[in-house]
Amino acid sequence: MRSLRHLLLAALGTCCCLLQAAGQTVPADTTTHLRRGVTERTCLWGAGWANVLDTYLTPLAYKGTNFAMLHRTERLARWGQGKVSVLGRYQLHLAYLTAPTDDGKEWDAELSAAGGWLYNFHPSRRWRLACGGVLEGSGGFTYNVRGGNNPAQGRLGAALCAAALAEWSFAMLRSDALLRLEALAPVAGVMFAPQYGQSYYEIFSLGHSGGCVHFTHPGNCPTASLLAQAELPLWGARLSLGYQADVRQHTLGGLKRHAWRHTLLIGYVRRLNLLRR
Amino acid sequence: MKTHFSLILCLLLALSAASCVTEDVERNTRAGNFDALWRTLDERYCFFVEKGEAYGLDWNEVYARYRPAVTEQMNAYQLFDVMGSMLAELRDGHVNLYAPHDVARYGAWFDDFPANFNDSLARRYLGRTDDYRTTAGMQYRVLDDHTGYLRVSTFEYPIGDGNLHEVMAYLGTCQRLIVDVRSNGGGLLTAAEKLASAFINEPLTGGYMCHKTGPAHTAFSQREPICIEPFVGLRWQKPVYVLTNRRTYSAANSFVMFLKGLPHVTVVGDRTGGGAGMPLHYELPNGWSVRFSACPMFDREGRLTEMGIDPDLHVDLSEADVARGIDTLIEAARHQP
Repeated sequence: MRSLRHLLLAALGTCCCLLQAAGQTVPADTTTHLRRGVTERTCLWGAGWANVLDTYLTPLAYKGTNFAMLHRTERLARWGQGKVSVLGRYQLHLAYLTAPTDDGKEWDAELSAAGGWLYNFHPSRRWRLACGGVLEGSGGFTYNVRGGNNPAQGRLGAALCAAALAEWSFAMLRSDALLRLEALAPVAGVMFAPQYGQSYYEIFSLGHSGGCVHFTHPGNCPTASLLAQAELPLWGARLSLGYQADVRQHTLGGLKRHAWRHTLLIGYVRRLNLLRR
Repeated sequence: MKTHFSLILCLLLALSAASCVTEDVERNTRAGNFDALWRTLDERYCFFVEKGEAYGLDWNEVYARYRPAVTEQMNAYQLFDVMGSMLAELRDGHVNLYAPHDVARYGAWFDDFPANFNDSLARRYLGRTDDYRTTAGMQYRVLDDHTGYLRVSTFEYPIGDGNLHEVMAYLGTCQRLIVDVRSNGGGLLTAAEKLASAFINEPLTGGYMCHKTGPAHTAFSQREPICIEPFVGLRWQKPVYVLTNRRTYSAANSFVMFLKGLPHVTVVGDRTGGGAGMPLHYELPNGWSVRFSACPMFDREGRLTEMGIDPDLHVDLSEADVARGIDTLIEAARHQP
């Protein structure tokens, strides 16, 4: 926890420096907000902390190190008069976890892919606000090394998510930079997950899978993902620093699950002018 | 004002809906761990009703009897002993408590009965290492009176189509087949199903299975059939003798359950040990792990086989035969008309 606090303080300090740097220089005419014909691609990798509870496997919350990879793409849609953008996000989380008493170990993995549209507002030249809908598909598993007939828990789901974005463009070191905050929260969806007391032998060997598909909503699946990202110029390239809070939870079929992941990310941003023939 | 109130209400509703999902766990104390173990079994163990009827098991009474023995001053070994004694009240070989120094287990289901199996005798029938074949945890050979002998000491290993085809092809010339599942403590139910599939020609309902749907002792899902499809390769059509003893348990018990009652199958030996609840694992706050029966299985007539399955032909291993190097059960099967 102490190291995480130090990291957050360091990140806060960096942000303050950046803001100060932003005030020192005069911005150019252009900003880094989306422009027609330009596709913005962000690749981020990182590590952080995860807390995973899955009552199918154990009543204990396991904690450990989380590794993440996130790929984000956004471009203006060819329709919508420049106010609609297309967002795509793919992310992979992999965590190695230990029990509170260090007796049990777990591996947890989650892969998700999301795509949708955002409606953009520009309150000023530096600001971009956007909101919209995203369809997200996700799947993953948690493997507990101590389980016998219940060593692992799998899940597969799809959900319609509400998405919101706030972006501030500023100048720094005679170039342009950007701060972005992006949130995704499922509103309605479906998810496959075994029920209380149900064994995988019944589901997959005997085919008794009735009741494993659940309708999800914020009441039984309070989930949200928050991505804070700073895009900075660095020797002609664009460095991206980020923090992601990925909170996935559900109470389905008499079982509870949470996966709280906090990850510090680093990567790069590329803006591509894709020419159509 | 009304608008502001509505906005605040909506915000509160949204926040309450998005609350953290957590699980209440007992504290990691002696009493907390004892309570966690009792509650885990109370909510997840699947045979309270049947064992209450069979020998008067009352789980609340068990708690009242053992709880006073737990104090915060006792050491981990003493706590383990109290917990293990409490679990033994369930009289279930699938119930275990795993601690770093020991595994609490119940063994009266075989300790109190004749073994009816002698490993040295089984080795005499199988012969030397190069006298028999072995695959997927099974050993097999042809005895000198054209009896096939298939020793299945475990179902821990998956049985593939190729394995089963080779066994059936090798033993195909025999007049009868002895499948020896004595002292087979179980393993993979899918392996038991696969071996059973070699002895049927039509899809078979081997039994029924369900699972708990909630903490109540009577909360179960609907019983669903365990359907076994006939093996796609060579299938056995001649008489089969399945040898059992009190240590024929769990998946091996299910194997006997699948086959018993088929026209060409005779179960020879002693009552099986039972173990008709598929076990699951859970953890206690101190890191100890507990295993318990969670998904009960029933035979084709809907009878619970947790307490074992009676043989068609009861045969005990006689000491006189052991002295002569003869396995009474194998010989009984060989001399059936």
